[in-house]
Amino acid sequence: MTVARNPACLLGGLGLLLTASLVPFVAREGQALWLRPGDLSLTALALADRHPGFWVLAALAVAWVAAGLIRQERPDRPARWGGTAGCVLVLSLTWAAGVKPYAFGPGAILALAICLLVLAYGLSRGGYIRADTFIAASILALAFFILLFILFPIFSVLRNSVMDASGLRVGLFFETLRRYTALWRVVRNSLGLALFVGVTSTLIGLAFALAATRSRSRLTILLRSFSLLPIITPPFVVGMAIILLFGLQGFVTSQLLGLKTRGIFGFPGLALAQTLSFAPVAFLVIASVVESVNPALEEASLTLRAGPWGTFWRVTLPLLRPGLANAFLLTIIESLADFGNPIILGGEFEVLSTEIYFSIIGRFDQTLAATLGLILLSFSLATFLLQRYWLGERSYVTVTGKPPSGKPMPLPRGLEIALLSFCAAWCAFTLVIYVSVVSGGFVEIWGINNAFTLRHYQQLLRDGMDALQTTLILAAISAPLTAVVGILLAYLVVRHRFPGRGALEFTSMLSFAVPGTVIGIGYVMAFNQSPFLLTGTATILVISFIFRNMPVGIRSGIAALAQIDKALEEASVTLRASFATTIRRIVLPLIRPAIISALVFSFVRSVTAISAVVFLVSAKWQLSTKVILDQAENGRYGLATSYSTVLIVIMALAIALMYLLVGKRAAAGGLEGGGLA
Amino acid sequence: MTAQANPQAARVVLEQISKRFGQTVAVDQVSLAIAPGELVTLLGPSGCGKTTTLRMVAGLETVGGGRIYIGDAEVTHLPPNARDVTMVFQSYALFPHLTVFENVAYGLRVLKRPEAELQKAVRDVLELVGMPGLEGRNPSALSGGQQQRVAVARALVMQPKVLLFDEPLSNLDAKLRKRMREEIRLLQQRLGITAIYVTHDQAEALAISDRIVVMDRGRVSQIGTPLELYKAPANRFVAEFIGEANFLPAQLESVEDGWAGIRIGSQRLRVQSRPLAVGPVTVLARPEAIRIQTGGEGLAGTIQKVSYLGSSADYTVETDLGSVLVTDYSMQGGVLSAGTAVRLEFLPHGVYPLPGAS
Repeated sequence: MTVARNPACLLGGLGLLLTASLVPFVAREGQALWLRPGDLSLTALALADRHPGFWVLAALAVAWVAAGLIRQERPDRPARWGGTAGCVLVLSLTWAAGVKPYAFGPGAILALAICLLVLAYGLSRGGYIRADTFIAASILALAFFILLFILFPIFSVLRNSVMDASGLRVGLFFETLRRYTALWRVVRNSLGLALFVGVTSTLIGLAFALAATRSRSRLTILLRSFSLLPIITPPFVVGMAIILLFGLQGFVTSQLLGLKTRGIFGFPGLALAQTLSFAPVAFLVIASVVESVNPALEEASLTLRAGPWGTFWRVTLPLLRPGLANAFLLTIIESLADFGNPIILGGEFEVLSTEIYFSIIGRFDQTLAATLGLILLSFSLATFLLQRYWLGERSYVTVTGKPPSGKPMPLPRGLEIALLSFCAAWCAFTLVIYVSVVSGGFVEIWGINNAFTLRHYQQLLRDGMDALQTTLILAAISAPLTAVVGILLAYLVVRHRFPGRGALEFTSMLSFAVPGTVIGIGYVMAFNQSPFLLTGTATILVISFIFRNMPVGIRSGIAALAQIDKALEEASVTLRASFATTIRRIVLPLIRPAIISALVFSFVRSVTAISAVVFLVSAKWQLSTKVILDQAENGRYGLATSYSTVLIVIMALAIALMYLLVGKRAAAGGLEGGGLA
Repeated sequence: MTAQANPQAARVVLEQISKRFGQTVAVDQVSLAIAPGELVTLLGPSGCGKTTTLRMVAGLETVGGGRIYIGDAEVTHLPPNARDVTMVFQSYALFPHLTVFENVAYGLRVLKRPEAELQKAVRDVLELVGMPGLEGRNPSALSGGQQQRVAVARALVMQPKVLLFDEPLSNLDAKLRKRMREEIRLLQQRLGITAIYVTHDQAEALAISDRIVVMDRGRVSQIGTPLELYKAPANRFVAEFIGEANFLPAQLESVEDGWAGIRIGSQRLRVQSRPLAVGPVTVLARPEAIRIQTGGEGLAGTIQKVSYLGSSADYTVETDLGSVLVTDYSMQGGVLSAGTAVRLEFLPHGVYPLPGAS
């Protein structure tokens, strides 16, 4: 009779009782999580006097233990109902008890995890999710993390825009806007820049895509790899190089032309920097569409008496239209979200992302930051929704698909020559950009004293190593977590059917559309107070890396899983393997290249991130990109460029390592996935 | 019938199981009881719900309504790995990163069977399916038929309570398909294992099954032995799906214990029948049970089209009762040409009055 009839409930109940009596449910703000109970932290039972809800939690645990010993017709029911109640209870108790000076403690996390697990057991055994407890628990846990780290911060931005010290007022949003006189200029600047960059990037992307995929020239390989360079560089490095070339002491403007002008600051410089940065994104999107055009269509056109030019205009280009639209919308999203270039190149030309930054950092005005954040978010979101629902899934044509048989039509001769020479010139220009960044680190003062020096590197060794070390360690911690979260999400969304699957997929891809600055202020607003107190810690940096880069993992995961017959996993589970075993023994070995590329790219993107983390770094946890930005803002380009050079070299090494590990094809796929996400 | 009793073999009961995908009902209240050691085929056109039903038994789809029992236990909501069921997949689903041996050993390794026992079990089962000596190969280095055998071996080695087949032969060429289905049937009978087999190929279903479940748009149309389905289809759908069929208007003149007197055109004949009301009916006439001759009695008609098929000749004959398909296996009068005036004589063993008015 001592045999458990419902082991999930029995274990859950016992675990919950132990947690409630031994593990600190809340801890003092700023105190480490591993405090002993009683020190500066309180267990659930110790809190029960003040919050009777904890008695309910204890009652639930006891009820579970009891249910665990009784034979039941449907053991999933107590698990499901109790699990749901438990999750709600733990969260609301965290909210109620985790008030200043306390914040959530390890006990709260543990209690929530136990309730989630029991609920997962209830859902899978009740037939609500076609899988076992592991899959159900993964779905619940990821849904919870996405709620907490993507939706809750966005909600906090929303709340801050309509709520201030005097309470909730919907009119506050409009009051703030009326007070902020620069609004129309800023919005016009942001949208105008985004549209302009969208057009130029798409055109250049098209030129590159046609040249790289349809030209017979050997140059194409060079084009491909060269054009991807900006993807592995910190976003503002290009902006910095443009100042070095065209600024007040610019090599071109000042030394070659003898001009003393600040004309490059503002729209012209920004448009140039963003086009350089985002044309590769457009190139990747369009190239995959060009490759997926069925050559038979062009061959059909040629047999119907159309010449190469006619075929190009009447068949090839129209077929590329969805790709062009897609590239256009994606670059608009990127341009709106860009923070690094505007902050060092913007000058008097204010855009939304930098204004958000200055309202927090300069004016300490959270309401204004939240209001502008909402406006920026609505622009990006509208573009994202347009891209997703107007263009649909066509935008996710992945590079891994096999090209259809047949020979694609070569470009008309004249067009080919024109495109190749343009692309070569653009590549040369990109090269000049990078040469100027590298050489900027080796001269005394750019444009004024061009004597060779190692001074900046010496200073870097002295002052910059802490931040570099932090950056690399945090990026290295977050990379495997990002890969796990992203690929697990991809697996769940692609391979499983469960209620809320669409919503989970949508919100996880949302993190791509939400501008980094908005996520940044969202994290500041959501996690700088009890109960979820995380600001100033390394944890929040890692979390922001994970949720910013998650789309990298999701995309490579989806692409890799599409190549694997679903029946393989089904065969494994009918052969008694659990879903976890199936993932470990069947799925992971088969998608290894995707995992490695997801790892490398989430690492690269973490190291080069700036827009969200600029709000989250602290004196203790400083990141390289923020250091470079501070130097560049103050005109100390020598240190900034030498630091950037070091980062670029590290990134290039990481990519090279990936090529070595997974081979060229998979690596190229990963590179493009990394660029697109 | 089933061979020697296998203690491992379990009965399978489906109680009114249903499944919908969004708005479409894929499986609608399907009930079925399968005896231990029996091979039951789910047969129907694509989209009839046969594969979905099979996948619900395997636990690969959630069950929308109803219950599933395997042996004495209810398994309706159990995950697939908690059921004692294995499956042979249409694509074979051999793990590409594992050798033949490791593919077959996979399930036993998951169950952490001792190495010696595992080695022996895998070699025995590969022997059983006629595949010894290829343990070290990669699945991609095998022919289609060999892959099929490995897939069967991998499912058999687990000694499941129920073995499921999801269109296992559809990727093989016609000749090999015929051989493999005989081998599968022999193996299943020898081991006395309960099996559910899904196919859209009626010839395969007739050849292999103890009983066949014909499914149409998510519902069971008829359950019966191959002979019952061919001889006494419950409705027009079953008659059309199993074998070739002509549907002709006729008069039912008398009915008495299992026999009916009917008139087709001017020909009168006594055929086996269910109890039906006297009056006009539709009869099913199998093309091979119609004698075609250039003279004599029978329904008059003119040959519209001739297809010579080697062992037989197919004629499309235009008559007063409509167009009639005739298959002539004897070809005693040689092959007739289009335009010839002929008489059709219906043979009682191939004519069956269908329930429901015409």
